[in-house]
Amino acid sequence: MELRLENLTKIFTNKTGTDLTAVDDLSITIESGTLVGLLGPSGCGKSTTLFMIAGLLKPTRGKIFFGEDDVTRLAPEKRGIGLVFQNYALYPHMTVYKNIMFPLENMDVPRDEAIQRVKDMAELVGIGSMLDRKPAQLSGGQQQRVAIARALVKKPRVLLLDEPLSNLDARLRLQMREEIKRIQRETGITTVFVTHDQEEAMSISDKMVVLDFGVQQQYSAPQEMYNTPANLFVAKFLGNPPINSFEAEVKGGFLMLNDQKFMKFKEVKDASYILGMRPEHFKVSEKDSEEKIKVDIKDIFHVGRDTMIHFELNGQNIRALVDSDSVGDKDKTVDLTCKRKRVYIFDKDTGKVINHG
Amino acid sequence: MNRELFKKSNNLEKFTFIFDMIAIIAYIVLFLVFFGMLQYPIDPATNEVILEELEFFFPVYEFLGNNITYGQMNLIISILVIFMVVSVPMFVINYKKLRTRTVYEMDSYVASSKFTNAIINLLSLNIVGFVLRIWNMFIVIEFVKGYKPKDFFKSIIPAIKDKYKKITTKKEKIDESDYDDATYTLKKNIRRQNIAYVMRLLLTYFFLVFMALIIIIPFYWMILTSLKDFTGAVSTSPDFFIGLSRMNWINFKVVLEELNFGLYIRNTVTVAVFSTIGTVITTILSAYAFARIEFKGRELLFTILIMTMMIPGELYIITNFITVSKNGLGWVGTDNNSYFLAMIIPFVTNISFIFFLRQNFKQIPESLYKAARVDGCSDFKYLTRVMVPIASPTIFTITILNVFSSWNAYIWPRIITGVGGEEGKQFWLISNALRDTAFVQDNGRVMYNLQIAASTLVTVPLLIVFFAFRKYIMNGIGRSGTKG
Ligand SMILES: Nc1ncnc2c1ncn2[C@@H]1O[C@H](COP(=O)(O)OP(=O)(O)OP(=O)(O)O)[C@@H](O)[C@H]1O
Ligand SMILES: [Mg+2]
Repeated sequence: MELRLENLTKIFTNKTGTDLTAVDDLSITIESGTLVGLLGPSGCGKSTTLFMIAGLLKPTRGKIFFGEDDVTRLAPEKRGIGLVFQNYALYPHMTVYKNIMFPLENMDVPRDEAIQRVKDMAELVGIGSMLDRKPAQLSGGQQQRVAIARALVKKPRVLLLDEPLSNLDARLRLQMREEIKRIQRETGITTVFVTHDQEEAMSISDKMVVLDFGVQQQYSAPQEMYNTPANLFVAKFLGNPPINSFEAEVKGGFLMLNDQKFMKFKEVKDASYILGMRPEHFKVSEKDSEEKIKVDIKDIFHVGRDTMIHFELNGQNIRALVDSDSVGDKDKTVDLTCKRKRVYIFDKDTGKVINHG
Repeated sequence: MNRELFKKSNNLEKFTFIFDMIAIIAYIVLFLVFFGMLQYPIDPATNEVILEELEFFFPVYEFLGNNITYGQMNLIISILVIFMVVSVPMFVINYKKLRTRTVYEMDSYVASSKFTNAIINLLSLNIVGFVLRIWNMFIVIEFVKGYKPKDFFKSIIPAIKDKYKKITTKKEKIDESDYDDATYTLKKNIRRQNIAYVMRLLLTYFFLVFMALIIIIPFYWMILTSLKDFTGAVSTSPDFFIGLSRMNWINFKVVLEELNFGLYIRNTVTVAVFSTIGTVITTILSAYAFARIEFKGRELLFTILIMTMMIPGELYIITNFITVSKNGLGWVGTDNNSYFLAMIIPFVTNISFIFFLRQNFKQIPESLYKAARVDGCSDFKYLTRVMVPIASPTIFTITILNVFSSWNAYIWPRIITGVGGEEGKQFWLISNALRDTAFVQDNGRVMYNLQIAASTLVTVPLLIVFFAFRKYIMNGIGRSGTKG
């Protein structure tokens, strides 16, 4: 089922009377059956957005549509959503079985069917053998699966996950990530997955939304967002190691790096810009290439297949990740280049990317 | 590890419980039968007990065609009481252990505790329990050590020899000069620390034993005196022990039946039960409202409630009395008295409990509430299905503390039942009765043994409750402060 947010806004008013816009004019459409990652730094309004979709918070402005239906004013239990909380929020005094059964008790599901559904769901998330344990007797990953089972057992139209993996160790996180993806594919439920971990979002989502201070920055498929960030914030937020960003000037149509002419950008006006270049997009250039820049190597590290070079561009420390064979240990300088479309030029004031064809 | 054996041992233990239960029930029934047979001297004219003759009254009882003297009767009842006092806690402890012990906690100590229990079973004439426990002990030994019963007996002598050898062969002394400086200081420090540790342990235990004695001796004295006859109780050279056959259980019977303590205890239980039910209900509802429901003026209202805690309870008494007396609701002092209402209704709420429970409710994460909302759970259902079970230890604490305070209540019941003369006397609670009952012989001497017996009757239930639930009680007192 399609999920549509229209101009969704949430303003919290403090006791002192100051307003805080937690979510600002958010409009996105989430296609049926997709998994959308909601990504942003801590405090940017991810949970708030999710709770508004769930109906736990009333939007200040804007509308929420499930398919054709306007659900903005509907009570949470009538929306048919499953919600997994950041801290799982399992009922500590109930067994796993009762936890999963709890939502069904409040619906008119016949007893036999309810039991069957609980068992099926427990099998699906792989906790079938732990039904009579209490949450405290489960590991973090198992608790999380119980939370997912509890959210899914209602057969919700929309599944909302609020940083469900934040409490897990790195390996379990990887494993659960795949598990969630598998369960989502198997059930085909429209899913919103909140996280502040860009890598997690990139690997799991069909599409991603990046928020900053409640404002939507970009909404597109992960790889597309990685390759063509809409603004400096998105570019900086994605990628590990992070993107190199520094000031650079365009003079006479040429991008100037360390006072050398690097590349010609006809469409870009002469001015000072913020330049973004990802470490892994650098390459050691061919001898005859025109668009290259000679840099003094400050440091060099071998990291397995790749080599990390540290150098300076326009007074800024830059990292580049290049093929190990293309640079020697003793080299003092190296000629680097980068694909034209991987050079991101951002407006200095607005941070918006400038299209250079 | 053989889980089958573990299961077998547990099942056998469960089976043994049946016989423990049967034994306990038998003790209780027999106790009631014999206690019921006890007789005291009755004045044929007034049909009342003659307290003067109580200690010279030695009837011979008949039980299933056997004649039993007064002393034998006391002996039988004493033994039954001892059996109960030993077997009930043993049963409870074993039951708890069975429920909580995991397969990893099963060790030789479990076997030895089975053995001890078996001996206690034997001594308290529970032969089946004895046999089953011994059998169970061998199962545990097999589980822990892998010995079959036969091997076990064979292994005893070598084990003793081994131990003996270990004790007799001296440890080889190592020349201390072999150590370098650092090792030497380290060893010295370790030894010094060990000595300090042992000293501290000794002191702690000495202190604890001392304090325990200070607390236990009065209770012991109370129980002892309540079982003495009048001469023994007022003797200037009192006995510190009395034989089982010299325990006058008749004292309790006189107190319960002739001095009406049975009635007073019933009254007290009635008041305690209803006021506690009321308190728990009002406390849960208002704590929930103050913790979770958003409404205008919530903080202000709560502050006002808390402020009333600063007013000493005695100040309410007069206004409360006016409210329930004939100028107000008319529950007392009219033709149509309802003493119970007057004693219960003013105590069906308690601010400090509300505060206590509210703090507890507030600690339950908000996200549980949100989860319940998403799951389609109403506020009330959330309260009953999630909050109350999670806060149940606190609620239990509240219940017990409230029962305690009803049990101990004195001033208010005294005032209420003081209205209406003889009619009010029928509604005395135990504390009033202890104070105001005349334990007096016709010649004016106070029957101290009977008075103490009455106190024992009143105190022992509290002690039992305290020992059974001390975890919860300490919990509550620690947080809410004592209130009496
Ligand atoms: N009930 C509330 N009252 C006032 N302000 C709130 C409330 N809930 C959230 N906020 C504010 O709204 C902003 C967004 O909060 P939100 O919980 O959505 O962040 P988040 O993106 O989920 O962060 P995190 O990754 O740390 O969970 C924050 O600045 C927060 O302080
Ligand atoms: Mg959050």
